[in-house]
Amino acid sequence: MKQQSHIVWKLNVVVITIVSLVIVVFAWFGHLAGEHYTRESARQILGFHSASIVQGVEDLMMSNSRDGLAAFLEDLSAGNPIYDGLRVVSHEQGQVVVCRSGAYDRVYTLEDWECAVCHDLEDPERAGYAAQDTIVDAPRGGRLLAMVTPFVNRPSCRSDACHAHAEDGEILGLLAADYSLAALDPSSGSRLIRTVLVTALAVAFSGLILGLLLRRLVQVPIGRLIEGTRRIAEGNLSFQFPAKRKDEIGELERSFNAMTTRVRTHQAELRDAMEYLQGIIENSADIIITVTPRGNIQTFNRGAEQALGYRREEIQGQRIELLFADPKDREYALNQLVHTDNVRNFRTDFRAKSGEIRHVLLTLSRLRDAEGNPIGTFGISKDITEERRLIRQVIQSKKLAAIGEAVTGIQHAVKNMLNALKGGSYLVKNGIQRNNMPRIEEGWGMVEEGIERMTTLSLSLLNYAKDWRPEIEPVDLNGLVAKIHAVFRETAASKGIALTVHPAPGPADIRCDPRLVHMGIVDIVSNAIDACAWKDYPEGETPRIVLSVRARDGGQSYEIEVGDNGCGMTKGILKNIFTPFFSTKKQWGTGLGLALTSRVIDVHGGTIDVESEPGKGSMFRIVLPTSGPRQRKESADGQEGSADRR
Amino acid sequence: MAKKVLLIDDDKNAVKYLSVVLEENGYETYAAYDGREGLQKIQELNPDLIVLDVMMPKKSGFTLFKQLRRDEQYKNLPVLMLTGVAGVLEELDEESADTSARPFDSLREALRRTIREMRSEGLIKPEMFMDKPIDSAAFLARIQAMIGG
Repeated sequence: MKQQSHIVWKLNVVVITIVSLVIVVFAWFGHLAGEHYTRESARQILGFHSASIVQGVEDLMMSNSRDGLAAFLEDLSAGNPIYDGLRVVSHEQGQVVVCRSGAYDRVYTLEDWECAVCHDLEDPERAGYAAQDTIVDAPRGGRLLAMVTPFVNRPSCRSDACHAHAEDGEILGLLAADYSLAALDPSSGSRLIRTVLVTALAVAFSGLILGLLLRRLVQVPIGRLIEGTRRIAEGNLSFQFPAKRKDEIGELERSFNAMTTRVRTHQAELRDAMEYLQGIIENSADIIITVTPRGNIQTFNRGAEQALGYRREEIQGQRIELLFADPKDREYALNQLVHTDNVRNFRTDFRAKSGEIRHVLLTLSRLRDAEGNPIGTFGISKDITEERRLIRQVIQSKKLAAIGEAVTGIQHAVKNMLNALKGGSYLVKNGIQRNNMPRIEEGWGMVEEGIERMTTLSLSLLNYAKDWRPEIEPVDLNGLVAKIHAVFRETAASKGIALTVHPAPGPADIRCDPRLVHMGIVDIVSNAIDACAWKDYPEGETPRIVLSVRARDGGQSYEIEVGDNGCGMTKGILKNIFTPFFSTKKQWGTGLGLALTSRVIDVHGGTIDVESEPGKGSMFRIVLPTSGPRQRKESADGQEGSADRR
Repeated sequence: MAKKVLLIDDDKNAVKYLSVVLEENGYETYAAYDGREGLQKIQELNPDLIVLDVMMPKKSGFTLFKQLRRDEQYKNLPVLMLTGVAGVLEELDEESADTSARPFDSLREALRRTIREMRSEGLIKPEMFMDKPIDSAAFLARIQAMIGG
């Protein structure tokens, strides 16, 4: 409340000062004007009076009676305090001729102001006739109006017998009258006092009225505003001003109302956003921790509590290094933050309260305030302990499955070969019993064939498992395909299959290992032959295989296609054809052919893909880069390649 | 009069082996090397029993088998089926075996499914199957059990 009184008080003082100044200035001017008019009136009246005395003196002069003159002046002024002095001065000698209560011995010279009325010291000849006056301080106190009125040389003065004046002087003498202004002065003094009194009253009254008005118009509403804003400042945002006034204060109240409404809305929005974010942080399954610039834990969400076993009350404020299994890891992650504002998926280990190690992927960001100053770090860690355990388990079970597949595949192949050996040995034994030589030979052929197949299988297994390196040299693909055609044409023809070749126009020179590529294409071609032999062709369709070579990507790579119209493959088979030990062949398949081919193509940095439809045929497409494989480690390639195919 | 047995298998060595086993024991044997030829020979020779390989070119053993069972004339013709895929029959009897362990093995899986289906339709019985490699004595015993000697 002090504050508002202050303002109103200040306003009051300023306004009253201004009003007082105005009143004082007006009063002063009024006083000056009164003084002026009073004096002017006195001058006119007294001037007229002096003229009357001069007339009287002139008449007495005619009778040439100095005593009469003196008596006249004495009579005139006797008992009248207005006359301070009355002197008749001769023009010629400047001597006082007659006077009332005045010094006769005084002689007027041109230096006296009375003479200066007409005589300019610079130009003594200049003369005027009007009465002149001045106000001087009386020797006995008060002020005097000293008035000079000349006696003019009239014709009667020249003609009269008593002491006729010469004709040449215009002025014969003068009446110097000193009138006391004592009667006027007290009146002007009391007027001043009155003026001051009235002014003081006016000022006091206007101050009172103004104070009341200010209180009603300013102090009360401002007080209400202050009270309201204080309540708003205390956080009561639902406070509303009445806002009924139509003036600026009403406007102010309305603005305040709008402002609090907006602040309230924003506050609600902000609160919602905060709650939303807090909800996300709190309910995230990830470990979310914020750390102060000094390295103390600040935020510790539920995910962190669950993963690390600490309650937030016990961990907040602790050093963050406490959580790292190796505190250097945090240092290392922070060093990364020097160059960029965040570090993504940093692999590290946390130590839970129980001492258990949790593997995490840590993403760190620097927290900054609006000015960009660092205010801490924000870390989200994904607990991958379980994931890593599962991955290890999966890898383990995949390894086991792969071994299982291999064993089953080999067993399958071996069983078929054993069948040949079994049949062969039966025939040999039976032939010996019956002494049947051709049967023995026939049986022995079967045994040999079985041995041969087993040798091939054994070699294929070795081939597949070994860590081989391609021997890259320039190769003419057209020539290579032509050789394969020459080898297989007869076999195909014996089964009624037409094997044709479409070489690339012009040379098709690429860098590759010719033996490996030859092996891969041969495998696909023999598969195609089997696929054709397997199919029961309808009338009008004949088995055929087409081998073609063509350039791709403007000679950047070459494409070798092997298309057949054989039995084709179902999706289930197609999915598995590059899997080692997967075979659809009954007797002699090792299940390694296409797995090897796929590896060969991989090693060369090429690709292999297949389209197939059951009953319609298959199309194998190999793409090899013209410039040969890039310099890579073969063993790694082989593993990647087979993994991709799975 | 000797019993006529038709051996249908694309594996010539297997046909040779089994026909010697049968001929040694007084059966009359005939051979066909794919499903289509097999059907032709059946109609031609009217055999007492056929030994049928499941996997064959042109027409698979199963296709041929289903065709025969739908045919009024052959629906009771005794058939012994040979499977080249090791272990299928054993696995078939272990229904609880975890088949998902080898998802890649679609061929084996397809065969198992077919056999299971046909069995549920009453078309086949486990004793109709023999798994390779085939033991000569067991093979002969099975044939004799089916059609006598």
